[in-house]
Amino acid sequence: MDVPHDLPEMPREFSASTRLTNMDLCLRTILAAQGAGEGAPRLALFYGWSGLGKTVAAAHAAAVTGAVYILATRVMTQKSFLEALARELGLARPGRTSSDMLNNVIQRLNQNPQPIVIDEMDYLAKDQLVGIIRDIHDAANIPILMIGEEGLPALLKQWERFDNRIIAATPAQRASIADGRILRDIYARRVKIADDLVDHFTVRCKGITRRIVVNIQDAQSIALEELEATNIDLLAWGDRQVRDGSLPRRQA
Amino acid sequence: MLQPAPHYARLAPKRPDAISRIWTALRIIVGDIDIAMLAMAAGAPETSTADYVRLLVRSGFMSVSRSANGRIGTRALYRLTRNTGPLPPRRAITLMADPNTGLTYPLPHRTTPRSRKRLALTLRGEAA
Repeated sequence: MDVPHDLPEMPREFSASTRLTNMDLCLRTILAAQGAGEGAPRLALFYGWSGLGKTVAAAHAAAVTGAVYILATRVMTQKSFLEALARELGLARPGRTSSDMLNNVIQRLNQNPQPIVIDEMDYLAKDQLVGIIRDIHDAANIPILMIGEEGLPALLKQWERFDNRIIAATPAQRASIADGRILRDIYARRVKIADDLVDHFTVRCKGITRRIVVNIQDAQSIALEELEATNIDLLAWGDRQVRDGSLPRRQA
Repeated sequence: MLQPAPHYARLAPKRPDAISRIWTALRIIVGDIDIAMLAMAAGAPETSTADYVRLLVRSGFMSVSRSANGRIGTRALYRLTRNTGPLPPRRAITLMADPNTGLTYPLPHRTTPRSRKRLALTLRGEAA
Protein backbone atom coordinates (compact mmCIF):
# COMPACT_ATOMS: atom_id res chain seq x y z
CA MET A 1 0.00 0.00 0.00
CA ASP A 2 1.38 3.37 -0.93
CA VAL A 3 0.13 5.47 1.93
CA PRO A 4 1.58 8.94 1.44
CA HIS A 5 4.17 9.69 4.07
CA ASP A 6 4.32 13.44 3.64
CA LEU A 7 1.03 14.10 5.44
CA PRO A 8 1.36 15.62 8.90
CA GLU A 9 0.51 13.43 11.84
CA MET A 10 -2.92 13.69 13.40
CA PRO A 11 -3.01 16.55 15.92
CA ARG A 12 -3.70 15.48 19.47
CA GLU A 13 -7.21 16.94 19.57
CA PHE A 14 -8.30 14.47 16.89
CA SER A 15 -6.13 11.48 17.69
CA ALA A 16 -8.34 9.83 20.31
CA SER A 17 -11.23 8.68 18.11
CA THR A 18 -11.40 5.47 16.14
CA ARG A 19 -11.48 5.96 12.40
CA LEU A 20 -10.95 3.92 9.26
CA THR A 21 -7.88 4.46 7.06
CA ASN A 22 -9.67 6.65 4.51
CA MET A 23 -11.28 8.81 7.17
CA ASP A 24 -7.84 9.30 8.67
CA LEU A 25 -6.19 10.11 5.34
CA CYS A 26 -8.95 12.48 4.29
CA LEU A 27 -8.87 14.36 7.59
CA ARG A 28 -5.08 14.60 7.55
CA THR A 29 -5.22 15.93 3.99
CA ILE A 30 -7.52 18.78 4.95
CA LEU A 31 -5.46 19.47 8.08
CA ALA A 32 -2.33 19.61 5.93
CA ALA A 33 -3.99 22.33 3.86
CA GLN A 34 -5.15 24.10 7.00
CA GLY A 35 -1.74 23.95 8.62
CA ALA A 36 0.17 25.30 5.59
CA GLY A 37 2.08 28.51 6.28
CA GLU A 38 0.55 31.98 6.00
CA GLY A 39 0.04 32.87 2.36
CA ALA A 40 0.80 29.33 1.21
CA PRO A 41 -1.73 27.67 -1.12
CA ARG A 42 -4.33 25.48 0.54
CA LEU A 43 -5.86 23.37 -2.21
CA ALA A 44 -5.90 19.63 -1.52
CA LEU A 45 -7.12 16.50 -3.29
CA PHE A 46 -8.46 13.19 -2.07
CA TYR A 47 -9.16 10.78 -4.90
CA GLY A 48 -9.72 7.15 -5.77
CA TRP A 49 -11.94 4.52 -7.34
CA SER A 50 -15.57 4.46 -6.32
CA GLY A 51 -16.58 2.14 -3.51
CA LEU A 52 -13.62 2.97 -1.29
CA GLY A 53 -15.74 5.09 1.04
CA LYS A 54 -14.54 8.50 -0.10
CA THR A 55 -17.83 10.15 0.73
CA VAL A 56 -17.96 8.75 4.26
CA ALA A 57 -14.36 9.89 4.66
CA ALA A 58 -15.39 13.33 3.40
CA ALA A 59 -18.29 13.38 5.83
CA HIS A 60 -15.88 12.67 8.65
CA ALA A 61 -13.38 15.33 7.59
CA ALA A 62 -16.10 17.94 7.06
CA ALA A 63 -17.94 17.12 10.29
CA VAL A 64 -14.96 17.30 12.61
CA THR A 65 -13.37 20.37 11.01
CA GLY A 66 -16.66 22.24 10.62
CA ALA A 67 -16.22 22.47 6.87
CA VAL A 68 -18.77 23.46 4.28
CA TYR A 69 -19.63 20.55 2.00
CA ILE A 70 -20.67 20.96 -1.64
CA LEU A 71 -21.74 18.02 -3.76
CA ALA A 72 -20.95 18.93 -7.35
CA THR A 73 -23.28 17.83 -10.09
CA ARG A 74 -22.96 17.40 -13.82
CA VAL A 75 -25.21 20.38 -14.50
CA MET A 76 -23.51 22.79 -12.14
CA THR A 77 -22.71 26.25 -13.49
CA GLN A 78 -20.73 29.05 -11.88
CA LYS A 79 -23.94 30.51 -10.62
CA SER A 80 -25.42 27.33 -9.19
CA PHE A 81 -22.09 26.52 -7.55
CA LEU A 82 -22.09 29.93 -5.85
CA GLU A 83 -25.73 29.47 -4.85
CA ALA A 84 -24.93 26.14 -3.24
CA LEU A 85 -21.93 27.60 -1.44
CA ALA A 86 -23.93 30.60 -0.18
CA ARG A 87 -26.67 28.30 1.08
CA GLU A 88 -24.21 26.05 2.89
CA LEU A 89 -22.53 29.06 4.48
CA GLY A 90 -25.95 30.11 5.72
CA LEU A 91 -25.95 33.48 3.95
CA ALA A 92 -29.34 35.11 4.46
CA ARG A 93 -28.97 37.44 1.46
CA PRO A 94 -26.58 35.78 -0.97
CA GLY A 95 -27.13 38.36 -3.69
CA ARG A 96 -28.71 38.15 -7.09
CA THR A 97 -25.90 38.09 -9.60
CA SER A 98 -22.90 35.79 -9.65
CA SER A 99 -20.50 38.58 -8.78
CA ASP A 100 -22.65 39.70 -5.83
CA MET A 101 -22.69 36.16 -4.57
CA LEU A 102 -18.96 35.75 -5.04
CA ASN A 103 -18.31 38.92 -3.03
CA ASN A 104 -20.67 37.88 -0.26
CA VAL A 105 -19.21 34.39 -0.07
CA ILE A 106 -15.66 35.75 0.16
CA GLN A 107 -16.70 38.32 2.74
CA ARG A 108 -18.30 35.65 4.90
CA LEU A 109 -15.28 33.36 4.59
CA ASN A 110 -12.97 36.16 5.63
CA GLN A 111 -15.10 36.98 8.68
CA ASN A 112 -15.73 33.41 9.62
CA PRO A 113 -13.25 31.07 7.94
CA GLN A 114 -14.46 27.54 7.24
CA PRO A 115 -12.75 24.93 5.08
CA ILE A 116 -14.64 23.88 1.94
CA VAL A 117 -15.02 20.28 0.82
CA ILE A 118 -16.11 19.74 -2.80
CA ASP A 119 -17.21 16.20 -3.63
CA GLU A 120 -17.45 14.84 -7.20
CA MET A 121 -14.98 17.51 -8.29
CA ASP A 122 -14.66 15.74 -11.65
CA TYR A 123 -17.87 17.46 -12.73
CA LEU A 124 -16.35 20.89 -12.10
CA ALA A 125 -13.28 20.39 -14.28
CA LYS A 126 -14.27 23.26 -16.55
CA ASP A 127 -12.51 26.61 -17.09
CA GLN A 128 -15.15 28.72 -15.41
CA LEU A 129 -15.57 26.59 -12.29
CA VAL A 130 -11.90 25.91 -11.76
CA GLY A 131 -11.37 29.65 -12.10
CA ILE A 132 -13.96 30.55 -9.51
CA ILE A 133 -12.66 27.99 -7.01
CA ARG A 134 -9.20 29.50 -7.43
CA ASP A 135 -10.62 33.00 -6.91
CA ILE A 136 -12.34 31.97 -3.69
CA HIS A 137 -9.22 30.21 -2.48
CA ASP A 138 -6.98 33.19 -3.23
CA ALA A 139 -9.28 35.78 -1.75
CA ALA A 140 -10.27 33.95 1.41
CA ASN A 141 -7.13 31.87 2.02
CA ILE A 142 -9.15 28.92 3.29
CA PRO A 143 -8.41 25.23 2.79
CA ILE A 144 -10.36 23.66 -0.08
CA LEU A 145 -10.45 19.86 -0.27
CA MET A 146 -11.58 18.42 -3.58
CA ILE A 147 -12.71 14.81 -3.81
CA GLY A 148 -12.98 12.87 -7.00
CA GLU A 149 -12.32 9.79 -9.06
CA GLU A 150 -8.95 8.18 -9.69
CA GLY A 151 -8.26 10.41 -12.68
CA LEU A 152 -8.85 13.72 -10.90
CA PRO A 153 -5.20 14.80 -10.41
CA ALA A 154 -4.47 14.21 -14.10
CA LEU A 155 -7.66 16.02 -15.07
CA LEU A 156 -6.68 19.14 -13.13
CA LYS A 157 -3.17 19.26 -14.64
CA GLN A 158 -4.51 21.22 -17.60
CA TRP A 159 -5.01 24.32 -15.41
CA GLU A 160 -1.43 25.05 -14.46
CA ARG A 161 -2.13 27.96 -12.15
CA PHE A 162 -4.70 25.84 -10.32
CA ASP A 163 -2.55 22.73 -10.19
CA ASN A 164 0.33 24.77 -8.69
CA ARG A 165 -1.77 25.54 -5.67
CA ILE A 166 -2.43 21.92 -4.73
CA ILE A 167 -0.31 21.17 -1.69
CA ALA A 168 -1.53 17.67 -0.87
CA ALA A 169 -2.99 14.94 -3.08
CA THR A 170 -3.89 11.76 -1.26
CA PRO A 171 -5.14 8.57 -2.91
CA ALA A 172 -7.93 6.70 -1.09
CA GLN A 173 -6.95 3.21 0.05
CA ARG A 174 -8.72 -0.13 0.21
CA ALA A 175 -9.84 -1.09 3.70
CA SER A 176 -6.85 -2.55 5.52
CA ILE A 177 -6.70 -5.60 7.80
CA ALA A 178 -6.80 -3.16 10.73
CA ASP A 179 -9.93 -1.50 9.27
CA GLY A 180 -11.61 -4.91 9.06
CA ARG A 181 -10.93 -5.47 12.74
CA ILE A 182 -12.27 -2.03 13.69
CA LEU A 183 -15.45 -2.90 11.79
CA ARG A 184 -15.61 -6.25 13.58
CA ASP A 185 -15.36 -4.52 16.96
CA ILE A 186 -18.19 -2.17 16.03
CA TYR A 187 -20.57 -4.53 14.26
CA ALA A 188 -20.13 -7.82 16.08
CA ARG A 189 -21.00 -7.06 19.66
CA ARG A 190 -22.78 -10.32 20.45
CA VAL A 191 -20.26 -12.75 19.02
CA LYS A 192 -16.48 -12.97 19.06
CA ILE A 193 -15.35 -13.19 15.46
CA ALA A 194 -11.76 -14.41 15.28
CA ASP A 195 -9.10 -12.32 13.53
CA ASP A 196 -8.52 -14.99 10.87
CA LEU A 197 -12.16 -14.85 9.76
CA VAL A 198 -12.33 -11.04 9.66
CA ASP A 199 -9.07 -10.91 7.71
CA HIS A 200 -10.50 -13.48 5.29
CA PHE A 201 -13.51 -11.19 4.71
CA THR A 202 -11.30 -8.13 4.24
CA VAL A 203 -9.16 -9.87 1.63
CA ARG A 204 -12.05 -11.52 -0.20
CA CYS A 205 -14.09 -8.30 -0.32
CA LYS A 206 -11.05 -6.50 -1.75
CA GLY A 207 -11.19 -3.88 0.94
CA ILE A 208 -14.69 -2.63 0.16
CA THR A 209 -15.97 -1.49 3.56
CA ARG A 210 -19.68 -2.03 2.92
CA ARG A 211 -19.16 -5.66 1.89
CA ILE A 212 -16.95 -6.41 4.88
CA VAL A 213 -19.73 -5.13 7.15
CA VAL A 214 -22.30 -7.37 5.45
CA ASN A 215 -20.14 -10.45 6.01
CA ILE A 216 -19.39 -9.57 9.63
CA GLN A 217 -23.12 -9.31 10.28
CA ASP A 218 -23.69 -12.60 8.44
CA ALA A 219 -21.02 -14.29 10.54
CA GLN A 220 -22.66 -13.00 13.69
CA SER A 221 -26.07 -14.39 12.79
CA ILE A 222 -24.60 -17.69 11.59
CA ALA A 223 -22.75 -18.11 14.88
CA LEU A 224 -25.82 -17.37 16.97
CA GLU A 225 -28.49 -19.09 14.92
CA GLU A 226 -26.80 -22.02 13.17
CA LEU A 227 -23.81 -22.83 15.37
CA GLU A 228 -25.40 -21.63 18.59
CA ALA A 229 -22.03 -20.37 19.69
CA THR A 230 -20.72 -17.02 20.88
CA ASN A 231 -17.56 -17.19 18.85
CA ILE A 232 -16.72 -18.03 15.28
CA ASP A 233 -13.46 -18.41 13.40
CA LEU A 234 -12.36 -19.37 9.91
CA LEU A 235 -12.59 -23.08 10.74
CA ALA A 236 -16.18 -22.76 11.98
CA TRP A 237 -17.08 -20.62 8.96
CA GLY A 238 -15.89 -23.49 6.76
CA ASP A 239 -16.57 -23.20 3.05
CA ARG A 240 -19.53 -20.84 3.32
CA GLN A 241 -19.62 -18.23 0.57
CA VAL A 242 -18.21 -14.81 1.35
CA ARG A 243 -20.53 -12.17 -0.06
CA ASP A 244 -17.91 -10.33 -2.05
CA GLY A 245 -20.13 -8.79 -4.71
CA SER A 246 -19.33 -11.33 -7.40
CA LEU A 247 -22.26 -12.83 -9.23
CA PRO A 248 -23.60 -15.99 -7.65
CA ARG A 249 -22.17 -19.12 -9.23
CA ARG A 250 -24.54 -21.69 -10.71
CA GLN A 251 -24.87 -24.73 -8.51
CA ALA A 252 -23.57 -27.80 -10.35
CA MET B 1 3.66 16.27 15.30
CA LEU B 2 1.96 19.06 13.42
CA GLN B 3 2.89 22.37 14.93
CA PRO B 4 -0.07 24.73 14.82
CA ALA B 5 0.95 27.73 12.72
CA PRO B 6 0.04 31.18 14.10
CA HIS B 7 -2.97 31.46 11.80
CA TYR B 8 -4.14 27.98 12.73
CA ALA B 9 -6.52 29.31 15.33
CA ARG B 10 -8.03 31.68 12.80
CA LEU B 11 -8.62 28.90 10.30
CA ALA B 12 -9.99 26.43 12.81
CA PRO B 13 -12.07 28.62 15.07
CA LYS B 14 -13.94 26.09 17.08
CA ARG B 15 -14.54 22.40 16.87
CA PRO B 16 -18.25 21.82 16.17
CA ASP B 17 -20.21 20.06 18.92
CA ALA B 18 -21.38 16.46 18.58
CA ILE B 19 -24.87 17.38 17.32
CA SER B 20 -23.45 19.58 14.56
CA ARG B 21 -21.01 16.87 13.58
CA ILE B 22 -23.74 14.21 13.39
CA TRP B 23 -26.01 16.50 11.36
CA THR B 24 -23.20 17.42 8.95
CA ALA B 25 -22.24 13.77 8.47
CA LEU B 26 -25.89 12.81 7.88
CA ARG B 27 -26.34 15.46 5.23
CA ILE B 28 -23.24 14.32 3.38
CA ILE B 29 -23.97 10.60 3.49
CA VAL B 30 -27.05 10.46 1.31
CA GLY B 31 -28.83 7.14 1.56
CA ASP B 32 -29.06 4.55 4.28
CA ILE B 33 -26.74 4.50 7.23
CA ASP B 34 -26.61 2.67 10.53
CA ILE B 35 -25.83 4.23 13.87
CA ALA B 36 -22.35 2.71 14.23
CA MET B 37 -21.03 4.06 10.95
CA LEU B 38 -22.68 7.42 11.49
CA ALA B 39 -21.10 7.70 14.93
CA MET B 40 -17.68 6.93 13.53
CA ALA B 41 -18.13 9.38 10.64
CA ALA B 42 -19.24 12.11 13.04
CA GLY B 43 -16.54 11.31 15.57
CA ALA B 44 -19.28 11.15 18.20
CA PRO B 45 -20.13 8.53 20.84
CA GLU B 46 -22.57 5.88 19.66
CA THR B 47 -25.02 6.58 22.48
CA SER B 48 -25.35 10.30 21.72
CA THR B 49 -25.62 9.51 18.02
CA ALA B 50 -28.46 7.06 18.70
CA ASP B 51 -30.23 9.59 20.95
CA TYR B 52 -30.04 12.33 18.33
CA VAL B 53 -31.15 10.01 15.51
CA ARG B 54 -34.16 8.96 17.59
CA LEU B 55 -35.13 12.61 18.05
CA LEU B 56 -34.77 13.20 14.31
CA VAL B 57 -36.91 10.16 13.51
CA ARG B 58 -39.59 11.20 15.98
CA SER B 59 -39.73 14.71 14.56
CA GLY B 60 -39.85 13.51 10.97
CA PHE B 61 -36.39 14.61 9.83
CA MET B 62 -35.31 11.00 9.33
CA SER B 63 -36.99 7.76 8.48
CA VAL B 64 -36.20 4.15 9.27
CA SER B 65 -35.43 2.42 5.98
CA ARG B 66 -34.93 -0.99 7.49
CA SER B 67 -35.86 -1.85 11.02
CA ALA B 68 -33.70 -4.39 12.82
CA ASN B 69 -36.95 -5.99 14.08
CA GLY B 70 -35.09 -7.66 16.88
CA ARG B 71 -33.11 -9.87 14.53
CA ILE B 72 -29.70 -10.63 15.95
CA GLY B 73 -26.76 -9.25 14.07
CA THR B 74 -28.71 -6.85 11.88
CA ARG B 75 -28.73 -3.15 12.43
CA ALA B 76 -31.49 -0.72 11.62
CA LEU B 77 -30.82 1.61 8.71
CA TYR B 78 -31.87 5.23 8.69
CA ARG B 79 -31.95 7.99 6.15
CA LEU B 80 -32.29 11.75 6.26
CA THR B 81 -35.53 12.80 4.62
CA ARG B 82 -35.74 16.48 5.53
CA ASN B 83 -32.44 18.12 4.75
CA THR B 84 -33.20 21.73 5.55
CA GLY B 85 -29.76 23.29 5.76
CA PRO B 86 -26.41 23.44 7.47
CA LEU B 87 -27.54 24.11 11.04
CA PRO B 88 -28.65 21.08 13.08
CA PRO B 89 -32.22 20.98 14.40
CA ARG B 90 -32.17 20.98 18.17
CA ARG B 91 -34.70 19.96 20.74
CA ALA B 92 -36.33 22.94 22.36
CA ILE B 93 -38.59 22.73 25.37
CA THR B 94 -41.17 25.40 24.68
CA LEU B 95 -44.25 24.24 26.54
CA MET B 96 -45.38 23.83 30.11
CA ALA B 97 -48.15 21.27 30.44
CA ASP B 98 -50.73 21.41 33.23
CA PRO B 99 -51.99 17.87 33.93
CA ASN B 100 -54.92 19.27 35.97
CA THR B 101 -56.53 21.06 33.10
CA GLY B 102 -54.82 19.47 30.11
CA LEU B 103 -53.77 22.93 29.02
CA THR B 104 -50.32 23.89 27.82
CA TYR B 105 -48.63 27.22 28.32
CA PRO B 106 -45.75 28.64 26.28
CA LEU B 107 -42.40 28.53 27.99
CA PRO B 108 -40.16 31.23 26.57
CA HIS B 109 -36.41 30.95 26.79
CA ARG B 110 -34.98 32.18 30.06
CA THR B 111 -34.07 35.82 29.81
CA THR B 112 -31.75 36.06 32.78
CA PRO B 113 -28.45 34.25 32.51
CA ARG B 114 -28.28 30.95 34.32
CA SER B 115 -25.09 31.98 36.02
CA ARG B 116 -26.44 35.17 37.61
CA LYS B 117 -26.21 33.84 41.12
CA ARG B 118 -22.70 32.55 40.60
CA LEU B 119 -21.73 35.86 39.02
CA ALA B 120 -23.05 37.78 42.02
CA LEU B 121 -21.11 35.57 44.38
CA THR B 122 -17.93 36.07 42.39
CA LEU B 123 -18.44 39.82 42.33
CA ARG B 124 -18.84 39.86 46.11
CA GLY B 125 -15.57 37.96 46.34
CA GLU B 126 -17.11 34.75 47.68
CA ALA B 127 -16.28 31.33 46.33
CA ALA B 128 -18.63 30.22 43.59
